[in-house]
Amino acid sequence: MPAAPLHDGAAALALATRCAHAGRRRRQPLARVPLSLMLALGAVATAALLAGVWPAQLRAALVVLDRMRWPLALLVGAVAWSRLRALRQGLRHAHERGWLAAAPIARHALLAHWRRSLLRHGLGACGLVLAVATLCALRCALDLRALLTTVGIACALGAGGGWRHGAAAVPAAPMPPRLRSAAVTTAFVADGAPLRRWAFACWLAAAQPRREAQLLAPMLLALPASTGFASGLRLLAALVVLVAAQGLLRATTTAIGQAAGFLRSTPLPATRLAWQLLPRPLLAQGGLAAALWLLPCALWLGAACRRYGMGRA
Amino acid sequence: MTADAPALRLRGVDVQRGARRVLRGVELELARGHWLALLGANGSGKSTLLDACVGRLVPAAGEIAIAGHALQAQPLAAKRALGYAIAAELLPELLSARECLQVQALAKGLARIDAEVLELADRLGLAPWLDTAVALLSYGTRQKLGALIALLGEPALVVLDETFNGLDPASALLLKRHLHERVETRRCAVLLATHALDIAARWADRVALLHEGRIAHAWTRDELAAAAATGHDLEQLLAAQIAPPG
Repeated sequence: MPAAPLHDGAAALALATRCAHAGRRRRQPLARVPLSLMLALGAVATAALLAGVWPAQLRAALVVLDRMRWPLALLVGAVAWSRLRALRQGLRHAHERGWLAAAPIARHALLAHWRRSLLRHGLGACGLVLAVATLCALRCALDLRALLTTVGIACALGAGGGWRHGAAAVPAAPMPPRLRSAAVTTAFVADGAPLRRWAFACWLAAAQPRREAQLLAPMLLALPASTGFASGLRLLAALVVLVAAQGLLRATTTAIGQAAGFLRSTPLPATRLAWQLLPRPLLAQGGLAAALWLLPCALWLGAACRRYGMGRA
Repeated sequence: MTADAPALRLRGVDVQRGARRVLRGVELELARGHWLALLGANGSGKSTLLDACVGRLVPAAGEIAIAGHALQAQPLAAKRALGYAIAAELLPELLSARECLQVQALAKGLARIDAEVLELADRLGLAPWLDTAVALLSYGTRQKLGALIALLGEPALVVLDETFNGLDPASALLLKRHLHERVETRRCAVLLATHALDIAARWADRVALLHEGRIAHAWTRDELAAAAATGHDLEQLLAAQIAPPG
C-alpha cells in the first residue's frame, strides 16, 4: 500500500516534533544537568535577594542601568534582531536544504515546533525580567517600568525586524572554507608547511566577522556619550583581541583533532606532529595576550565605574 | 621490516564499540604478494577491522602485526609498512590535494611525493585538481586522492576501505591494474573491504567473509574457480554461508 502523504495534520506535526527533539537530544546530551543546576542556583539567589539586605552598590547599579535605558534598549534590540534573523534563516535552510526537504511534510508543520520553542523561551525571558523588576520594586522602591517598557519595545522591534529580514535575505549557501590564496606550485617535496598553517586555516574558515560585528557594534553604541574617543577605541581593540584569541584557541584544538585523525595511520610521532602544528598558533596567542595586556582597559573600566557612581554607597 | 613475515597477521582480535562487541577473536593472515577481499553485510565489522589494522582503533584483545611488527608494541615500525586509503569524508577539507600528499609524504618520512604516485594521479585525471581544496572535490576525486595517499612510500600492506566506490569505470580499472601490478611484481599485499563481488572474484587471490564479528569463511582463487566450474558463483557461495538452508 502506498504511504499517504503527510501534507499536514497531527501525524506530520508529531513527526516534526520527534525529529526536532531527537536532534536536540543528540546535540545536548547533558543539557538537563546544567539546566537543573542553573534553576537551583536561580532559586537560591532569589531567596537570598528576598531575605537579605540589598547592598548599596547593587541599588546604585540599578539606578545606573535605569539611566542608561536607551543604549541598553539599543543593545537588546540589536541582539534580538540578530538572533531572530539567524533563527529564520536557519529554519529556511532546514526546510529547503535539510534532510527533510524532500519529505512530504508541510512547512507549517515543521515550523510548529520552533514556534512553540520560541514562545517558551520568550515567555521565560519575560518572566525573568518581570521577576527582577518586581524584586526591585519591593526591595528598593525602584520603579523600573520606564526601563522595562523601553527595552521591551526595542526587543519586540528588533525581533520583528530580524524575523522579517531573515525571510528577505538569501539563505547562506554552503560555502567552501575560506582559504589562503594558494599559489599554484609545482613542488612535490614532502612539506610540513600545511601543518604549520592548519590552525590558521581553521581560524579563517570558522571566522564570522559579520556576526562578531553585530555583537561588538551595539556594545560600542551602548557606551555613554561622554566616553572619550581614545577610551572607546581601546575598549574596541580589547574586545577584538579577545574574540580573536578565543577563535584561534578553538581553531587550534580543531586543527589538532583534524591533523591527528588524518595522520593516525602514519608513522609520524605525536611529538613531531605537535612540533609542526603548534608553535605558530601558540606564538600568535602569545602576541594576542601581550596586546591585551598592553591595552589599559582596566584603567578605562575603573574610570567608567567611577563616572557612573558604581563605587558610591 | 622482516622479509619473511606476512604483511598482516591478526590473532584473536576483539574490538568493542560501546556495549557491542563488533569483532570476536578474528584470525587472519595475509601474505606478501596477495590480494585479500573482505566481504560482509553492512554493519558486519569490515570497517572496524580495517580501523583496527591501521591503528585507528585499539583492540580490546588480540594482536595485530604488520610486516612482522606488532602494531601495539612497535606502532611506528608497523605503520612504516602500511598504506591506508583514508576515507573520503576523513580527508581534511581545508588542505588542497597536493598539500594532503605533501603532509602524508612528510609523515611517512619521504623526501618527496613518489614520481609513480604523481604519474598515477595524472593518469587518474587528478592532476588538474591537485591545487584545489579537498572541500571542493567530488566524492570520486576524493576517493582517488585517498588511494594515492595509500600508495605513498612503497608500503608492504595497502589497506582500502571501499575505495572503488564512486570511481568512474576507467579510473577504477586503472587503479585495479596498478594494484595488481604492485601485488605481482613488488610483493605488496592488498586488503580491500568491498561489496563489489566482481572485484573480489576477478582481482583478489583470496576472499574472506566477515559475519557476526568473525571470519566465517575464506575462499582461494582456485576454490572460486572450482565452484564456478560447477555453476556456483561468489554470490551463491556467500548466500550459502550467511543463510545456510535448513
